[in-house]
Amino acid sequence: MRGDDVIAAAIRDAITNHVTLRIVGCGTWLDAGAPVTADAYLTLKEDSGIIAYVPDDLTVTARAGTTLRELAETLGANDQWIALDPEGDDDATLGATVATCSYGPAAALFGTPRDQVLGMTVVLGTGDVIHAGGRVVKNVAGFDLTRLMIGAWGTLGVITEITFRVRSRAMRKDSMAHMRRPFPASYGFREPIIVNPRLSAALKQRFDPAGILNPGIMREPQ
Amino acid sequence: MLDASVVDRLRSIVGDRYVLVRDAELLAYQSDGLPGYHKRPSVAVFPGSRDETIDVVRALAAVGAPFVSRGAGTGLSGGALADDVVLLGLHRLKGILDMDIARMRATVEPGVVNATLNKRLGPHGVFYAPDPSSEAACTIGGNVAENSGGPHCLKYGVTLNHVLAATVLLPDGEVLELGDRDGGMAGYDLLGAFVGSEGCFGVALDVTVRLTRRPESVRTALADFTSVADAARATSAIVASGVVPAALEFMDNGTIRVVEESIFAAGYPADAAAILLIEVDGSAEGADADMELVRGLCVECGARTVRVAANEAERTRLWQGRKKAFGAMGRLAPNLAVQDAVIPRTQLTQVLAQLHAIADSHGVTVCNVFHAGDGNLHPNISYADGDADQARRVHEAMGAMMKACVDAGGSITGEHGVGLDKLQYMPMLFDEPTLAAMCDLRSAFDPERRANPGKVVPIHSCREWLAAPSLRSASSGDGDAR
Repeated sequence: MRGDDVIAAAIRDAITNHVTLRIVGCGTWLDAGAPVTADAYLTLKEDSGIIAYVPDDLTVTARAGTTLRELAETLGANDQWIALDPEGDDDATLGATVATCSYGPAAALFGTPRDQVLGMTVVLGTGDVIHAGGRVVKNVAGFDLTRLMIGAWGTLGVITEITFRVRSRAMRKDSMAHMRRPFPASYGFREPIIVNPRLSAALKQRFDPAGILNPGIMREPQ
Repeated sequence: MLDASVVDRLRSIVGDRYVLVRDAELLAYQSDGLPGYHKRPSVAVFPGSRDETIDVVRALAAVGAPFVSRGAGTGLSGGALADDVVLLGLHRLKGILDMDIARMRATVEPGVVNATLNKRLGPHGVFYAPDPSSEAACTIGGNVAENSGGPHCLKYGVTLNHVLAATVLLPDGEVLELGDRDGGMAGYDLLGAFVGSEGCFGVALDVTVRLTRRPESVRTALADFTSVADAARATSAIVASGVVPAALEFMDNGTIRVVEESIFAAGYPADAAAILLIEVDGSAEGADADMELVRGLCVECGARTVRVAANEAERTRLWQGRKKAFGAMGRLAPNLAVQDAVIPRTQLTQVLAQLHAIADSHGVTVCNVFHAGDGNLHPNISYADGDADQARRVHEAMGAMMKACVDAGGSITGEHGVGLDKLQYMPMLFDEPTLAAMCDLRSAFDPERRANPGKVVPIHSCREWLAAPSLRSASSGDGDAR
């Protein structure tokens, strides 16, 4: 399945036919969160590829099904990287990494996907295609739909394209050392737990009113 | 106008002295840092504590009254202007509630001034990194609302990257804890959405910020260039090299000359086409090595001289010219439109040429002083507000400059926010479904859209507005210019 229009059409069909969807990259996260019982899979893995990469801009835009490995190879040719090293192998997709806000030891220096993602294209649970954020490293135009989608585990929309901040690998060891921050663990992700029930329900109601996206993946707090 | 009984209720909460209703008293609150726009609040109310703030907002919620939150009023996009609604001034909430140096965090009330916090943190060898140029006056609450940046955000990140948690008062009076002081992440990133929401999602009652260790040493250099293109090339070369400068600031000839003619003269070469102010920090050895590399790159790209400040006094002087550049521009004309836009870094030379061409064709003068390292432009136009024709030309030139930045793949604001000023440019940057989704996000926090009404997203983008014709006639919300 490729392209925003195709995914939007699939979501609109699901709404019409009352079909719930499990959003999947390459399936690494299937066991995470609460068990999801969905009628069908919506797989992003085939929707891959680098859309825009200008090394001197230090930004890159890629489709959500692109793997960490593919992106690392492209950026590595210029001694660059996105400063993310989440647990698991490099066949994980960018979409899943961002949707779960997964991070690895590099987060202690550079932060999580929350600090690395500049913008994204998302097909909402309404079928609307939105273009949140942008492709520049600093941007405060409008409300931050990008941060909302990062770590939302695909429950508000399906991320189809992502723009990341890119860093040079050369000399990285001491340049960013002052970003050092305490992290509870060297690997982790944004916990899919409902923290503010009223606001969370209001968001779900507006972004996925039919409740078709990853039903049940956000757990009630213990 | 607010019902007299509501005004009485506000007086009973905060005391008579802190409720302003007379025109003469409200005059000071009809402007913020954005020139050319003036809106008079119906009432200004200044709670003195967290509990008073909650009571005020609940009293307003009870009668469905809209309100605008304001910190120090230094914002540059008109976000703190209240158009015949209640102005909620938060500058009296200036308690530093906790400084936990071991855990590298501090919890402050929204009215704490950015520089005041750093003054208190100084002796502990730590600092709060985001440093907007208004740091001496602007509040942390305002910084959170605007997701403020500053020169040193190139290395350290913007406000969003430094806020761990906040206690937020929703416009309906509910109090929520967003984020996690210990750095944990769970549930929707409501804190991430709240930071930069320009006062439209509620009021921050306290904010827990991340602290950063002071670098062991700092090196600051002035590189001067005889062509703008060379300075832009040097910027790209430095950023691509892997050195992450603490700051990388650009000033063009117009800015250099006005600074040098002012009391803030910093010893910039007045005949340079452009200068770069470059700061690196870290360990002493690391900073020296980085600075050598930077110097080499500047020379390679055609720098005439690269002068590294020999001591703290020289360093302060170099920075003073940059930090006071906006003030120095007061020498040119009574008003200064400080603009804010972002472009991809490789487009610097081309876009700067475009901005000058736009200024020329509109008969206005543009001075550029900006955060080159992250492509965050500040084209500034000096003008006299009293001259209607000139003010119109400035306004039109600004629109053309925004369009040039958007066409280059950039954004209409990197750190000042949309407020009232940029509302008209939002459809340039975002399509209708995206603007509608922003309205939906706001509605989750504030379904009645009473907090900072008419700002950030044009109201005609909202589904509710489209669905309810009755709202349309009642709304004042499209942010008419002056």
